[in-house]
Amino acid sequence: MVSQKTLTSGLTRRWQKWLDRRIPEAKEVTLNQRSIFIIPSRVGWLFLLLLILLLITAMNYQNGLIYGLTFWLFSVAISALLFTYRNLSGLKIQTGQHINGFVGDHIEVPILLSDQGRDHQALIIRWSNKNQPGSNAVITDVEMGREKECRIPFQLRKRGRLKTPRLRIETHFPFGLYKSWTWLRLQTPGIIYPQAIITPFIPSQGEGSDLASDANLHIGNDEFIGLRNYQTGDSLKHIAWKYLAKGKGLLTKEYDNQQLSLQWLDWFSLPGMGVEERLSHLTGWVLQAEKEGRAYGIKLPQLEIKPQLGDVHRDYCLKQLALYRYEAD
Amino acid sequence: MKLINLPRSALIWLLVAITSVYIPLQMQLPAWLSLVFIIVVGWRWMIHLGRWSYPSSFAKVFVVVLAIVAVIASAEGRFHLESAASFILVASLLKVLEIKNQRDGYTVIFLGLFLLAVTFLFEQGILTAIYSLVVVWVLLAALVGLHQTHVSGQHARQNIKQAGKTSGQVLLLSLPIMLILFFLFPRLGPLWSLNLQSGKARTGLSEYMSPGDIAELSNSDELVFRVEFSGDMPTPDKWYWRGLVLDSYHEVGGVSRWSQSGIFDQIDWYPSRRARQESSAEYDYTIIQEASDNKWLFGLRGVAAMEVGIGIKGNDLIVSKTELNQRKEYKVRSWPEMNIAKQGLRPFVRQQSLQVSKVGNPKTRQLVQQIVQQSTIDQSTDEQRMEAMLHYFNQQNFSYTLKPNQMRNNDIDKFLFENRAGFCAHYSSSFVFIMRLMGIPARVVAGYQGGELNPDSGHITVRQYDAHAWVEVWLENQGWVSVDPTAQVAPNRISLGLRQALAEGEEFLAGNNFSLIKLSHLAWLNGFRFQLDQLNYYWHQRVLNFNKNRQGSLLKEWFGNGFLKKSLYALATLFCLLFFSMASMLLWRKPVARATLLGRTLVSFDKKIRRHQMQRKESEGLGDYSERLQLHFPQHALSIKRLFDQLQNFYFAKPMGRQFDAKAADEKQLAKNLLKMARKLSTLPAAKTALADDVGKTD
Repeated sequence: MVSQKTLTSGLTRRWQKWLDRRIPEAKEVTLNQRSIFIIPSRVGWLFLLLLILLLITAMNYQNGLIYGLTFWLFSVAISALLFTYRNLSGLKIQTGQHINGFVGDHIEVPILLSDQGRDHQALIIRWSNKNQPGSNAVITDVEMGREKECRIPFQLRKRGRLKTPRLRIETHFPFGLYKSWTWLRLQTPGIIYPQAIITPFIPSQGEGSDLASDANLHIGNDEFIGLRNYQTGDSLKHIAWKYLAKGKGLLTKEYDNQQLSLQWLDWFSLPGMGVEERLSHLTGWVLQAEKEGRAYGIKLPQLEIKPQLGDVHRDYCLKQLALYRYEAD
Repeated sequence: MKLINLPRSALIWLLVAITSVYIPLQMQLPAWLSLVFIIVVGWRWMIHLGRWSYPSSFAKVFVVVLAIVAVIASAEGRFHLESAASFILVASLLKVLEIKNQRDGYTVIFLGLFLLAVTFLFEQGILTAIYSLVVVWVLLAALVGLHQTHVSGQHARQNIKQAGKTSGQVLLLSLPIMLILFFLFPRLGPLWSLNLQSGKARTGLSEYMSPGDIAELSNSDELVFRVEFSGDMPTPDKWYWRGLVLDSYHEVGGVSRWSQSGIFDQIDWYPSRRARQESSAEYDYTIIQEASDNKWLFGLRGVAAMEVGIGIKGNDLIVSKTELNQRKEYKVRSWPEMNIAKQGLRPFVRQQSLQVSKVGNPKTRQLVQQIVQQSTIDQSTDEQRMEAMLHYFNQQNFSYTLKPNQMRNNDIDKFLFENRAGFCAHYSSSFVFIMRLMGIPARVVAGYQGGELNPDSGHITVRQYDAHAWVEVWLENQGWVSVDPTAQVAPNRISLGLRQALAEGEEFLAGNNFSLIKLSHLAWLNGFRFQLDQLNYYWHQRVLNFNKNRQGSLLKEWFGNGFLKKSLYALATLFCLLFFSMASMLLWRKPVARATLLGRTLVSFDKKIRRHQMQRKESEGLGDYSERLQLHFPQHALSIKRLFDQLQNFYFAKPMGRQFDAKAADEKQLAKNLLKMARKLSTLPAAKTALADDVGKTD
């Protein structure tokens, strides 16, 4: 026997599949008849009721003017269908900017709205996913020939690649008699890092422990070797600010810290924890190590990242943690 | 539904909308509603300005109860159209007071639309119609306002404008569909009979007439009916529009009172009685009668019912089956010269037509006695006696006035022997009284006399001040004969109308200061008035009276037999046609700049050459592409090079000195050559080119 639940979930899946075929994922969408849905709103049905009432009044009183009013309002309702549809049709929606963040962060997803052909008014934009807490709708107008950036609040929930739910752009303009909307699957490139848990470092197991204690011994005693040209990714803490102030350019102070202040962030030093928890701790350590300016490497099952320092390294490490055993759904 | 707070522009439109809805209703509804209206709109505006606050829930309940009590009180125990309208208005006003969000806005606008329809139940003139166009526009603009994005300051003003513009656009665009619906949508009769009617007492003739009654109507220029003759028209002195026959005499408080006896209540409904064939002059005419709440219809003497729902009574009157709660258009045929009851009166009719009080008005009785005695000596006929009486009115210095003195107790005596000044009701009343005392059957006829002929359209407009009462007398060998004693006193009343008949110093349409008719001595204004009247006439005839019958005959004219089905097809077709043309108009976008001829030709060149895997790469220059092609097709290398050099020259050559169309000709030639080349290359077998490719590689 098929239970009600599996039946509805099956239906939802088929519906989603149909929707994915109809409005496929894209970086840039121009709304047309394939992607726009339109139905009478509740107010629209009430309006119909009013029209029926007026028609009956016109008939019973045999009143030509009430007939005229009724027919006029009816044809207004017909035109309103076109006007409401037009308010979405031709609208171009773009995304593209990379967005990175940690699980639990409240971010804003920027989207660009534009149309060369006409104005669009009172667009209500929100995530179709009802349980997105930041689902407060953004209401905006789009002027012809002018790009409009909208930032849609979004809470990051799950580590991995950023995948936003379908974006719902809805409009009731001009009369509220119809509800016209679209569900867009927008590509929003970005990585969601695991939630950081800040705890003291736990030394790596085995040979790592020597290194770690070594490292601990040498905190603050890094030997200065010399200066070299700044490279992207170098820690800000190691920039020779004095030299910069003297106008000698951006230089990085080089320490012999590769060996001295070295921290292995080890998956296996966190026994008895779940995958997510371990990743959270590791993330916390990455941030901490980066902040303290010591080189760090990561040991994960089947993956080892060589110790290094700097924003590029940090982002790489965070990305690896984010995508570790990650399955897109 | 999400509650969205109201933007400023929406509130302004809403307040304007409810005001524009209220203005025409204000004349129909109790005066205290105006006060409520001003307070509510003012209050809401103060709330918007932040000076006052929303009423508390206690105040709200209090106001609601108060308003309901007031509405019920002013309805005076009867539930009629005015009280219904008052209820809806009060409801929408109270809603206006607490408009906070979009949903409240919807309520107010929908109620406003319904109230506009209610306005049409009271008034349907062309000016009302034009005004209501504005109201619909404002209401829809308010509806747009509810859906605009919140903005402030300068943008709010823009929003207000934008809402008005959008509303106007939609309304204009909707006109064609509205028109085809108006003409082609099948009109049905009333679904059920309506008891909810206006409770306002209408001015007009009443079933009772006391001397002095009709004078009140003379102050009203309200329209009673319009007449249009098809074919001949009788001369204006024959325009006696009969409405009621008052043959029953009573004295109430010393004042004569005439009413219908009820002996003619049997009605022959059309078509049970065939239209009478007479040799005398025949007139066909159409009357559009305004709502009167009565069943009486109007017609000239010798009338015949011409359509279903209309019947004829024994006293030569036509009546409608139902009360005229709405304007009614009907056809009538008359033979004004015909003899009626020439063969003699049935006893009960004769008895009713001689009925008179036994006592009272002694001086009149004495006068009658004298005339009768004199006439027995002279052996005169009834007709001569009647003539003598008319002569009496003519000779005895009677005058015509709208403001006769009050006459109580033996009013006919007082009129005949003391005042000698009165209105048509006095003359007809006393005349019939005297006739009956003489033994001549007589009765009062109430209706309208005259009317204004519109020189532009040729229709006659009859207004309340044309109300008149005259007399019918039964004479041997002649039957019922119309006699107008007023004409003896004020012949101008009959030939020129009330205005000319009034004595010096008496004001026409007193208390009706805004009537255009009063200014009819100004020629240009009078011309304008006639034109407006004509416009209104056509409006009533063609638009407002476009009912089931008219639609039927119009559609039959257009579509012939089986018009009902055909008209529905036409409706559907036109509807779709209009919808799609509207859609293409609204959704049309400026096309993206079209590719040039050469550009398009290059694309098709690519397609033709796809077989050889030799399409032009993205961002590959023409020169590079040419070289690649030459390598790939060495046997055509020369012609390829020549063609592509020409192409490059075409693109990069300065257009200096060359005529524009010469360049266009070049482009055409190039495109042609390019296609020729593509065809040539595409016919080459792929294998051979592959070989050529190999050769190229080994080089």
